[in-house]
Amino acid sequence: MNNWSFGRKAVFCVISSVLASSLAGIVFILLNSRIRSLVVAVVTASFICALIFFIVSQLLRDKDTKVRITSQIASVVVGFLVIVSTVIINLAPFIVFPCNHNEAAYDDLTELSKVEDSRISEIRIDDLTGWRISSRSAKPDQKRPVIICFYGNGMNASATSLMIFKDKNGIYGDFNENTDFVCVDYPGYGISGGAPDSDSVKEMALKVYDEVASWETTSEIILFGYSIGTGIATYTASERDAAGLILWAPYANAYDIFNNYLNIFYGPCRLLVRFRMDSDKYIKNVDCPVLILASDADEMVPYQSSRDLFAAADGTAADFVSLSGISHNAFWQDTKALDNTYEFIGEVA
Amino acid sequence: MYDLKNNLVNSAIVLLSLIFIGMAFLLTLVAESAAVALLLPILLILLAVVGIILTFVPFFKDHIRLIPVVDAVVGIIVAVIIHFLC
Repeated sequence: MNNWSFGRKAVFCVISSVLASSLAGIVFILLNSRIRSLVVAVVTASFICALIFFIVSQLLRDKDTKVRITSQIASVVVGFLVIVSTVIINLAPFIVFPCNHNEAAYDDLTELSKVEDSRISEIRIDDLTGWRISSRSAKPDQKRPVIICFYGNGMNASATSLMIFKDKNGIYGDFNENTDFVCVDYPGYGISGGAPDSDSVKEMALKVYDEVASWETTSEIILFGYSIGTGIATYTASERDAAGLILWAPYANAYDIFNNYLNIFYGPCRLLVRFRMDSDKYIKNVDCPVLILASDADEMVPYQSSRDLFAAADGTAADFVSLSGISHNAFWQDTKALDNTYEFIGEVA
Repeated sequence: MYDLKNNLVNSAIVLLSLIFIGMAFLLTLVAESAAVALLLPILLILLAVVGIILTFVPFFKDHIRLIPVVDAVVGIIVAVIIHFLC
């Protein structure tokens, strides 16, 4: 090795730095428990691609150099595409559904639900759990509308219900003045069983609707979706009868959200998106009044995607309210969003 | 025999490169800070330069195989520090 030329030593050092930085990347990801499983996926895919490269090289070892080099380059390019696809396919579920749970909020609501004549009660539907906040003005056995909330992917039923119930800033009162407010955790969220994906959340939404519809006190159901929950709410409204559909920061389809994150999901690249939620198709089967609220400063859901959804609704009984300068997470504190929502609830309930 | 050894070495380099690309891409997507997003490309350049400099150090001139070990240790330490800082 002492006799190595400088060029050879440099190549050796570059290869050893590729090894070391890859190891550093693996260690960094292993320290992050949320995406630990992705290391196995990437290493396995890399190993398979390298094996294919080796087999191709061995099979073509007697062939012309041009053919051999071209085939090796082709197998490296395919390997690169496989690795990128592996990362996208395996990472997407962690980004779309990060499975949130707030133990403190859950414990608080459990305590609150034990108080005599409490307006809070826990809902259990198979392995799904959530909360019902009963209307302030209605008598316990009186019929009243129920709002079913499908929250954003970074939220959970306990924290959302507690926020509405405690109403520290006095801005959420109209969510349960004359209506019940129901929020159930998606599969994998809170203490709900299962794993979240496009099929399981759709199935969960219909189960929740059917459960709420079976209550004797339910007069009508208003579906309310925020962010990722708008697709689920729209799907439910397309499959069941609702008195109204409220959508905060909705998307026309899941590709728009993915493209907002990494702008490559067109044509065949769409096959990499396993979360399918085509709100623009579902909304065509919705026949109840729809309220869409979108912000031109939304950094998560593109404003144009919300406009596309509104266009897909053909304007039939749909109303679009444009919010200016409101970031994605500021919807819950925005007076204009809340006032329009309460006005809509008053009209349809 | 020469072909087999050559192809094995090349496949090992391809394997390393693909793991590097996968990790770099993954970190870029999940990064909440620039330090994490650029961790791997910066480490790659830094460690390559450090490795080349080490080849001129008398001890490493005779023990060039130790350079990957030094690189790996430095890389892992940097990853742990970045994890706790970010």
